[in-house]
Amino acid sequence: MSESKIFYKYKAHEIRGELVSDSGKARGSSKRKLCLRKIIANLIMGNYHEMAQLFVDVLQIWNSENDLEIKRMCHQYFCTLTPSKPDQLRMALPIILQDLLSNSEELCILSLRTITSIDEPEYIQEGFQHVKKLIMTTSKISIPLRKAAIHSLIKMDQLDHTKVLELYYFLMDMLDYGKEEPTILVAAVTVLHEIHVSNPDMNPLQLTQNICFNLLEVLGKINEWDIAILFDILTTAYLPKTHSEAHHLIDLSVPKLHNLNSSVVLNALKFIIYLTNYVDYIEERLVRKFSSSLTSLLNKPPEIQFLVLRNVILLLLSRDSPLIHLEPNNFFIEYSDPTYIKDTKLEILYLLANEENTSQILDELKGQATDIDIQMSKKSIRAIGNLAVKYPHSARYSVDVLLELLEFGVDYIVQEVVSMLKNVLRKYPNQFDFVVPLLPQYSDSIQDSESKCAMIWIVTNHSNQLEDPIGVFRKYSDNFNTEGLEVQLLLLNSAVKFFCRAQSKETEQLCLKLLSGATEINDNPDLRDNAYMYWRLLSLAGNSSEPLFNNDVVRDMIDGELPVIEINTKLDPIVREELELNIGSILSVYLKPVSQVFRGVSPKKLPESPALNHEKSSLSIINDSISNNSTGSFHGSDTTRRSSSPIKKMTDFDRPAETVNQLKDKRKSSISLSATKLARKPSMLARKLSMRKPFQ
Amino acid sequence: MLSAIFIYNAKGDLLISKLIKDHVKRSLADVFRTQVINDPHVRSPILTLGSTTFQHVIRESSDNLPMWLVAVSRSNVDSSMIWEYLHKLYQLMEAFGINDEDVLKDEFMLLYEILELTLENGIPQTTDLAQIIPRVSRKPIENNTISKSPDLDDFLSGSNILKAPKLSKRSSSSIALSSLSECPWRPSGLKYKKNEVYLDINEKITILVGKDGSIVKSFVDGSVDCVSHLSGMPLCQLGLNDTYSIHGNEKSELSIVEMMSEYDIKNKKAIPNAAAGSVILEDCKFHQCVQLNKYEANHVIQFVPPDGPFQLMQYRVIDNINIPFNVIPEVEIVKNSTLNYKVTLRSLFPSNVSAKDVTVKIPVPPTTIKCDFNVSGGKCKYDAGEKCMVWKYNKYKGSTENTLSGKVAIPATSHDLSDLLRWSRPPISMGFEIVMFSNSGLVVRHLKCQEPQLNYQPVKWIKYISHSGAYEIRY
Repeated sequence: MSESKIFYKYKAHEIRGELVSDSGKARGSSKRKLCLRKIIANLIMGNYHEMAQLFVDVLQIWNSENDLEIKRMCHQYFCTLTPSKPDQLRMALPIILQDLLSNSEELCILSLRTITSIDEPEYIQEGFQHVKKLIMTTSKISIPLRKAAIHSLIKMDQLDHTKVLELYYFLMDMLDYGKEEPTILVAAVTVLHEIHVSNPDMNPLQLTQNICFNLLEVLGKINEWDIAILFDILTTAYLPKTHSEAHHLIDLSVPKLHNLNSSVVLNALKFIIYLTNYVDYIEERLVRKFSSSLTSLLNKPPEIQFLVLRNVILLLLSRDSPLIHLEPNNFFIEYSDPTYIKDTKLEILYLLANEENTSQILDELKGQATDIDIQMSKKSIRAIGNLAVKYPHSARYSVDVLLELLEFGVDYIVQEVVSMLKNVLRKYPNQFDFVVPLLPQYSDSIQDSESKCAMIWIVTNHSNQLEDPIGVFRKYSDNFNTEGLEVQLLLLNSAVKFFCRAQSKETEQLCLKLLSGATEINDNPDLRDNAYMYWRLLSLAGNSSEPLFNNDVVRDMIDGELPVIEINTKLDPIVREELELNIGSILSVYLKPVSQVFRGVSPKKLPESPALNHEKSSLSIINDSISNNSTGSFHGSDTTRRSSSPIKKMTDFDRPAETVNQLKDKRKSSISLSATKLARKPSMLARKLSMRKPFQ
Repeated sequence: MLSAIFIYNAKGDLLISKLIKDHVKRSLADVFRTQVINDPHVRSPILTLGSTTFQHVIRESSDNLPMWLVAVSRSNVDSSMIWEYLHKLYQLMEAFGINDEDVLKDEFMLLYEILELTLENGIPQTTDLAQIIPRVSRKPIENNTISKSPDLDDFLSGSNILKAPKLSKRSSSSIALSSLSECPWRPSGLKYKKNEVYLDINEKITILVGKDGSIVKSFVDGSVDCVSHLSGMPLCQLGLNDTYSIHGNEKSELSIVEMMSEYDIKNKKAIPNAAAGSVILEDCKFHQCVQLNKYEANHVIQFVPPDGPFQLMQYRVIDNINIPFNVIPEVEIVKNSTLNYKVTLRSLFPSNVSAKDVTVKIPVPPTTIKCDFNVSGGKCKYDAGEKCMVWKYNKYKGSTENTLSGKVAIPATSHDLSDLLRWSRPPISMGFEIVMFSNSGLVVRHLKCQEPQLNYQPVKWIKYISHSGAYEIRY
């Protein structure tokens, strides 16, 4: 079957041979179609060089056939290879122009796209003429064709900017007048927006009030994609002048948060959040709308879910009082979730923690900490530790959870737990001293440098709680020369601390050994400089001729009070402002300003307006219990309702079954070999089963 | 927006390459293959290299192998638009039956055709099947994407109405894309001999039960999937038993009762809580045809439907859901080398309903060397590859209890014991499907269709299907 051989690398002469041999026959057309499909398949496979040699043959078919599918393949061939030789281009132009005037709408669009993508004066000239005609003539042209013509300006603009500018004001007037087909208006504004974006010398697109309202008026008459792109463009392109105008725009946009298409929802959300920069207060109703709208996107396919989750993080990080209120159990991890979803949910759980729900969240994190996936497990433990530092009221419970995990005894869990305990001990100096003596027994599990550092830090700073701190310390300092730099620096620092605190033979020896190791054996300049500095400090202090520099001063310098650690999860105000304008975009996935992801792209900024709020923290969210009924929100009191409801138990739903099938006495077994060994009396089995004992 | 689209098979062979913007080269396809498809460690569905970003979705194609749909973009673009588009593109491929490597290799021009129609300069224009159909050269395959399980013979008294009606049934000559763009999703001039609407209430229940039997989370994700074969430009209104529309629309209460009587009484019988109460819909998402401002103002779901199959709405219900199954696991370690399992499965739905394809997967430790079990019903086998017991029922009656007892042997070395104690114990999971049962208690009260000129009464078919989502029980 030749059909099955379409996806097969051919040589040019093979296909040419097929073409020639069949040219005169009656069924030539379908044969040629087959050949063209082989050519296209070869282009997909990247066999460009061979296929390029068939240019003349393809051109011949292109010229002689009128079948739409053949035409489509010829255009595809031409566009993929985009010949560079001027004579080839000249040969093809008449055929393309001929297609452009065809009666078939599809073919017109196809050739319009082809002609406007070639960077050649003749093509640009001809192409522009047609595009102009199609755009300026308002009647008798089908909507898709007109739309294609408008959109082709984006490509033309990259080839010849000045030519396209001729039509710039025509499009603007079209928007201002607002009488065109709604989808055409959206196409026009899209093109204008693209022209502004791709020409750095032009300022960002700004639309007048009239245009903005013309566009929002057609919101109900355009399809989902048009709505999405419209919201995308209006964000920053239209600037509300007053608070009340911004409120009005929000009311117009809110219904679109109910659309099924996640892109519409996210773009509507972006537009509304953009507008909240220009209002004097935010209704609580909006916060509920945002929250429920985002939660309901969580049943989308995993990739879209991922994007939604990333944007949830963005919103949680951005304002001091977040614009969303979400229930943590929406983000509890499912076993079947892909890893990237699990990761993101974990981060959200951490961010959602507050005074009331930390125990619920910690329980969930504990469950995840024993996950098979090492990365997941580590991240969960990290989240537990960070919660302990962030919320003093939950510290006790977090430490209990960490200790429970420590008993689990798996190396990577132990390492992570120790690293986290260090922060906890540092944040709450005297509260958790009982933890310290439990740690040395896990020394053997500790291998990575972060947990080593944590352990060394704990041993040094909590030496009072240990029976033999130096002994534990030696376990690490004995391998001083083979450790990584980070560990070496800390070991050095700790040894000096020990010496400063209690000068004895033992500590002096320890100190000297490390100092000489660092200066003589090791060749890292940083380490050596550090060691020399300590050495000089110590010898200065030992030298009684320096009255200003005694042991106490040195001890204060080396072993002084540490600053309190705080965890701030909010973003920098400038970054947050930029990210809010980029909801749903690639930046919202990475949660970084554009300058860190894409070079040479200027960031989006909030345009200045008398209505702009500079102090976002002063923006109040007002309760709207009165307006609630008229706007018809389902969620009357859902935040209070849910948090007050007690935890449901499976037994509440349980009811006795009408039919109860008992286990048959006969023991079935899938593994026949073991059947004999396992034959045991049924009474024994029943007894075993009746023993209820929790598993763990 | 989009600079290129690539489609790969499971092995990473390029099946489709559509370069949309000039500056994109085909060689990017190789970059993605080596950086993502061939790299087992990649965790994210998005990758940015320099100024180029690859976003992908992986879908299980009809031959059960993964298929990669990849979009290439430059600089910072709207990610949501790209992912939603890729998702919809795959749905279109499904509808046209080209979501299979072999078929796609044969029909790749159809895919190019779809791409030409749905994208303008890399910006999605339309992805509605109903709008695509009249403009492509081939018709979609004739399996109704919605009513996949037409085993409702008792309910439908033997009529084969749920089998996909042929799309060519209508008089195609009069189809023209609506020139009035009041409803860009619906062609004007449609005519059907028999006007019909199918509504499928598909629900997926997700539940996570903690070790102590507490319900960590539970919710129902539902969708109302619709197939409309209606003439003219009908205006439809859907009434549900959600809390707001019941209390808010007292004026129209009479007409609701009226409408109810029109419906199959059988519907109500099968749905336990439906008649009793109302349902709180957490958040609804609607197809673009629904007039959202009407919904926002007085909670009326009003729409001019597209032609053919579409998803009318999605919703989520959290409170008062009907939990269909209770699984009570008891696992204990006997001596150092044996685990005893006792799992009780109880169906909580009424006995006149039954579930089908009920599967309970009970994980066993990875070191398991032997696994024996005894069940009071159904079939059970040990899957050594996945390390779990798979307990299956083709049909499970309501209000019925069954028990599995199992004995799992592991090597008796001390090392294995400590491994066992550290075993992360994946949750027990369940799969099932219950027809004519609503996990949320949501019921369609009425569906009114009004066509101003033609004035017909369409035939309406309503079906409720409850599926298992992530149904997990920790122990």
